[in-house]
Amino acid sequence: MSWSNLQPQENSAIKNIVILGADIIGWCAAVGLARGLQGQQVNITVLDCLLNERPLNQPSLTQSANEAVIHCTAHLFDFHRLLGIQDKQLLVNGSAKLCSATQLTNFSAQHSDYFIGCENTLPNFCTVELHQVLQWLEIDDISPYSLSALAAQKSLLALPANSKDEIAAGFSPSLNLDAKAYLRFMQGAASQLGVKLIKATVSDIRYHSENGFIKQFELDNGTTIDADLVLDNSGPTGVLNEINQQRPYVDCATLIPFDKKISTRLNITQQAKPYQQFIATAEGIVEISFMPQFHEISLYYASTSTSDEQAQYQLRKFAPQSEPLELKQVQYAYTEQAMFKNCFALGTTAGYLGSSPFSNLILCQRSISKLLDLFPGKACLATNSAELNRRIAKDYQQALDYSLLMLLYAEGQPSFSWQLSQQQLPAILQQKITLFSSSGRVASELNPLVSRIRWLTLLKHKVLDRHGYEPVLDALDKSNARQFLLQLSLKIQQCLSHYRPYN
Amino acid sequence: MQSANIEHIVIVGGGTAGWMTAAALANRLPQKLCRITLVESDVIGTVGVGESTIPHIRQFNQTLGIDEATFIKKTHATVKLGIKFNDWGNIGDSYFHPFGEHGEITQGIDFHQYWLKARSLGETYGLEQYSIAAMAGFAGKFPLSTSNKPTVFADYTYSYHIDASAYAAFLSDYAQQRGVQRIEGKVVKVNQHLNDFVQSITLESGQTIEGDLFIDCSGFKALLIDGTLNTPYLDWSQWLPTDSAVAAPCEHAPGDHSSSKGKIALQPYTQATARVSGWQWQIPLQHRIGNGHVFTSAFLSDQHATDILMNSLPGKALANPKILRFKAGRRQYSWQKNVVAIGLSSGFLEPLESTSIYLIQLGVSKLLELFPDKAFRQAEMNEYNRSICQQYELIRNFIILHFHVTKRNDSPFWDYCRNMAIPDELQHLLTLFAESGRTDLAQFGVWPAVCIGQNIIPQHYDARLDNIDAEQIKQLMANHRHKIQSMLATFPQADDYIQELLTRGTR
Repeated sequence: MSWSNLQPQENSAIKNIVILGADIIGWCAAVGLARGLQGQQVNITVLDCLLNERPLNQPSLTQSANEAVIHCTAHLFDFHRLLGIQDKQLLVNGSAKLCSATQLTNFSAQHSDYFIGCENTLPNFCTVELHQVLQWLEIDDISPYSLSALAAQKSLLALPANSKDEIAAGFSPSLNLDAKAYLRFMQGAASQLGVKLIKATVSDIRYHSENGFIKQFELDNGTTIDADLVLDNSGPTGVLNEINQQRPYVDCATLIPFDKKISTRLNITQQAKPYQQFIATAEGIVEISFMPQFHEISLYYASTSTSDEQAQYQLRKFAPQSEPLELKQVQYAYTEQAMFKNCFALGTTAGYLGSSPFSNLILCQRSISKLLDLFPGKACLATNSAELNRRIAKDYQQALDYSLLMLLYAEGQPSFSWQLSQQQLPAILQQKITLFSSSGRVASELNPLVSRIRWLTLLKHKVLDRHGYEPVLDALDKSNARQFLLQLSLKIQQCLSHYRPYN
Repeated sequence: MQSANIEHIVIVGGGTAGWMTAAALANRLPQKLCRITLVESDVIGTVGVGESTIPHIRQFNQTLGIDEATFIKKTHATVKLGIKFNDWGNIGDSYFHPFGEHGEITQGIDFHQYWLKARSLGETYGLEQYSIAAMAGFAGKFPLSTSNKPTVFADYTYSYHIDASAYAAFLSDYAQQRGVQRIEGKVVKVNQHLNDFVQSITLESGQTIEGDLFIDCSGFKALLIDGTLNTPYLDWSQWLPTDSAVAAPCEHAPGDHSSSKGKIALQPYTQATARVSGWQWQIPLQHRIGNGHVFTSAFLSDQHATDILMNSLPGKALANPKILRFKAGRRQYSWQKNVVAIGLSSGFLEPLESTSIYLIQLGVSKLLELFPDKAFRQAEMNEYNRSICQQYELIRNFIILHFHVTKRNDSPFWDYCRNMAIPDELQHLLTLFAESGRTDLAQFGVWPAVCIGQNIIPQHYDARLDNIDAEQIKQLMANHRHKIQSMLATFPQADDYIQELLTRGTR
């Protein structure tokens, strides 16, 4: 299409938005849109519906509606701040627990166990970043210099200080949301903002004949709902199965072989832990989310190499006294066309990256922000949709890359069959690793899902075969650098001494 | 494993690129780490690119610890708030491309969308009425930014018009004070190692200078990156067909504005006026006005181009017109082996958006970010070349936009530009804007200013605005105009601001 001969089109304002799927993501989208479109007399309806006899809360085997804990990166705060919801309000209403690190166990032959902190700035020595200084001084272990990782190890509640101090303020904790509490919070917020909820079965979907856009949902109670824009959170094989079959998906199965997830809850009386844990096993990846009264434990595995019984046996090792196991089929994939006609894919309809630290909730919230940035009219103009799809797909690509690096990439000889070598990774990620392993550098990007520091922190742990460091360092005095590290350690210890126990 | 460090950097060529590079390297790299030598020849002239700059230069100066008063004094600089484009969309049209967006984002909707909606409601105020930089520019004023900026400032920023040769001379002093060795001489031979890395250069005097890292700032000659390493040049002249410029400085003429201190008032913006087969710049400095006419030799003779320039100088010519030739494009790899090309040896984009100095700055800052050791690993080179290429293409697309989006049909040149095929990415972005007024913030420049200035009025404004009461929108627009008008009264004349800094510099 050329810019100079665009066909005239009607593009009046969207008045009716229908969100399919009344789970956390559906309500969160409703709140995001209701806030973003406040004062514009737009009707937003969440349809908690059935299509024929298919229950919507189980539309797809990849749906995560039953999870008790949702692990979210600090992006969650960003989204809620945009909505005018303050951090404290979110923490209280989401019964959230802060996590200042991720613990990786058995992922590396060199380090059986390590913590990755959540720093968003790195201290500098003579304008050279900390990780370069450590490389120069031949110090492999960076964990003593990560306040957030140390706090997690020591089970302390690390809260970023409200100051300019780059150590005390320079980290952004992730959080574990109590799914039920957060759902109630979002439902309540949506209701206050005038979002309607309808529970019914969809008996028919009507389309505009000229462009195939959805026009109305006909419900079994005899009513119809008008829709100018549909947010499909019902799963790829859900209510809009026919439309989703036309949506191209990027299949990640060649990279991530897991197609099943088995989960359980372990009720405990012990203290919760201020981190998220991943454990590599021969069967696959175990993820543990710690909450005050229970641990949620999941195993991602490949049915081609591990039977369900083997998986159950493995999981029981981590949770011998747990509640009954829940088995799901999962499919790692994401769409490159989140906006297709007048249907916007959300939740598992948009993609599923399983054990990624960037949960579907976070990806959904970023997608809603991008949708508001490029909010369409009724025509859902093609170029606008293309730009929106490009921006959203970039987030999913980054989430996938980060997840691959954190959980699947193994330097040298992989310990497990499902681990990937550098050559098996996507080209962009390979370049990132190559650049980092060359001299500890990471390129900057504009508004990325994964910040440069976050990449650096992870690469520092994952890439052990580093060639060089910042050459400028050789002109500096090593004893001054050691003094700098000592001061840094003292400063970190001082911060730690002010933190209270996590529970 | 760490390889041995670079011990000697040799910069081939002085001028703006050479001395900016030398100054930035000398500022960042301790003398203990490596020596820096710059070789330049007094007999080889410099192009003196970049009299008009963009705001990034302020960051460069700040990094080097150069204070504004000294900079303005040494480079005969004036302030710049943007570029006024004349006769681009059509003959008789005019618009202002300011530094900083218009208005402010309200209810999550870009301000220019409100302007489009207001226009559909019958309002006729230009988009620039909502830009603090544009309105101050027209009034000859200089918006003083404070830490507590009112919202009408949006992301306002500013830059300078400078005497590029004076800037090079100033940075030459700066660099030499920090240990850079300047050698006068003409390079007659480049000597290579067996692996084709550059080993040394030989000067006309017979002196041979060995180095580990060579920076090619030899301008269009591209002595090392092309002359020695034969790195291909990607020709972009199918999109940017101008290939020549004629330049001549002139004296000031009385300006449109009057300064409170009785000096000649200068416009705080660059002027770019489209001509029959190209365009003409006008850049006011403290002591003269820089003028040039960029044209396409296939459509216009040198003489005709020179006549157009000399007949439209705002004051008495101070020198004979000088002709330059160029070809738009970029080096396929700006970093090859142990040679990094910075400045014109790396690529050329015509000066329409004042990006020459920015591209030098980008080249040297990226080099410092990825500074190598003697191993010269491919990963650093790849990342350097990728990021330089990305910036060149962003700027290229933005410049093409100016030529392509026009209704002018008064010459074969404009017919060509209007009808030429454009890069796919630009086509997407133009369609995005033409259809819905949407922009990509990662792009270079203020797209709404240029697109609307060149008569792309998007087919649709943000449809959400139909859900907002029309009177409320009109009121919001009126409030914004009034706020800017009332702020203007508080700003000093741009000339007075310069005078104040000059006085401060001599205290």
